[in-house]
Amino acid sequence: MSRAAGSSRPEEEIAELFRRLPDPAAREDLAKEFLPLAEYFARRFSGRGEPVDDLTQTASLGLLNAIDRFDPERGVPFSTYAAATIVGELKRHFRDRGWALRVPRNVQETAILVNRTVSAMWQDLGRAPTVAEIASAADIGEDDVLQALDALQAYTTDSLDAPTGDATSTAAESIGSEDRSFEVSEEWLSLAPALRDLSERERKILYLRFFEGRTQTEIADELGISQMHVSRLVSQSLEKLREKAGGV
Amino acid sequence: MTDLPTAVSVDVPATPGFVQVLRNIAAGVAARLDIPIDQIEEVRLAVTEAASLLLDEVDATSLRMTIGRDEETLDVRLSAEGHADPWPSDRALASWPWLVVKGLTDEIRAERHDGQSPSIRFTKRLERVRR
Repeated sequence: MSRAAGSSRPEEEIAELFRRLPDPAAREDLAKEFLPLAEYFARRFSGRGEPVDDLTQTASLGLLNAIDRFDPERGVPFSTYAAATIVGELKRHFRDRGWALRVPRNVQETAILVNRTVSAMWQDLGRAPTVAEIASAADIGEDDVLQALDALQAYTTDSLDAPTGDATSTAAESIGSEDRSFEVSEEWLSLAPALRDLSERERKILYLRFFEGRTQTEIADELGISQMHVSRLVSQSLEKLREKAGGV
Repeated sequence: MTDLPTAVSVDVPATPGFVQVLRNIAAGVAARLDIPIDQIEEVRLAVTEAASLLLDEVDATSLRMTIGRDEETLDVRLSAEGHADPWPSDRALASWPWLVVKGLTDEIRAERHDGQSPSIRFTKRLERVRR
């Protein structure tokens, strides 16, 4: 009998526990069984200024949500489903913490709504929506949309953003592992010495956009991330570069 | 589109702090001119870089930004009230900000506005958006 992924116990035993839900004993058993998964992701998100204990607690909450919502009929292994839920919970934790410092609660809520609306519309329209279009789709004022977009710009922590297909690897990692030929372009680095202070991924995005003159769409395709994400990464990298260079 | 203004213009002191103001105004104006948000962001970044380049290159007292649009293009001009000779310098044309503005827009020119003020003018072709 084969073992269930992410667990030391056979698949059949795990499946049996899920059949017994919502029995509290089965739920607790499952939570214990997959706790190492939660702890693993908590560690992955550590070193960003949040205590590991808090992260573990957040990840455990994500695990419990995953247990409650998992549908064995779907044919997806529980560990895959749980990983996505746990990572989602951790990102939300960082987002709320980051924002709590400087963005009022009502703006945060609007920003989440706007962010969702923009993603959906970008897909539907095949281009970015206008402020007026977002306002009408989300049924809020144009000024609210502008304020929300500002807040989104301010908070986006790209390292936590946009997982690629696999919930456990982030866009950041997949970009970083691409070819490094651009690293050797001294001519390019000499244009803005502060480029050396950026991460490899940030340099790559800027290199593709401004040295090779690629469009956002092309970069999005190449890196397998959304146009919205490319747009944000370009902005953030340019802003960071300005900061590093001691400019505006 | 008939209710759109043909151009919006603003003057600010030539300091880094006011470049921040300019770029926010640029984003706000672009939003009101019914432009998709990714292009708004590009306009905001381009204004930042162009204005910074002018501050670097021109001994300026103030900056003027004029933004206009017609059916197909958005046109932005930043001009510095002040002195630079020559304008544009080779250094300016080979600089990082110039490269960035070039990458973010469809056309960029360095010229003297009214035969005098060093200025950078760029245009962006707009994606068709119907209301």
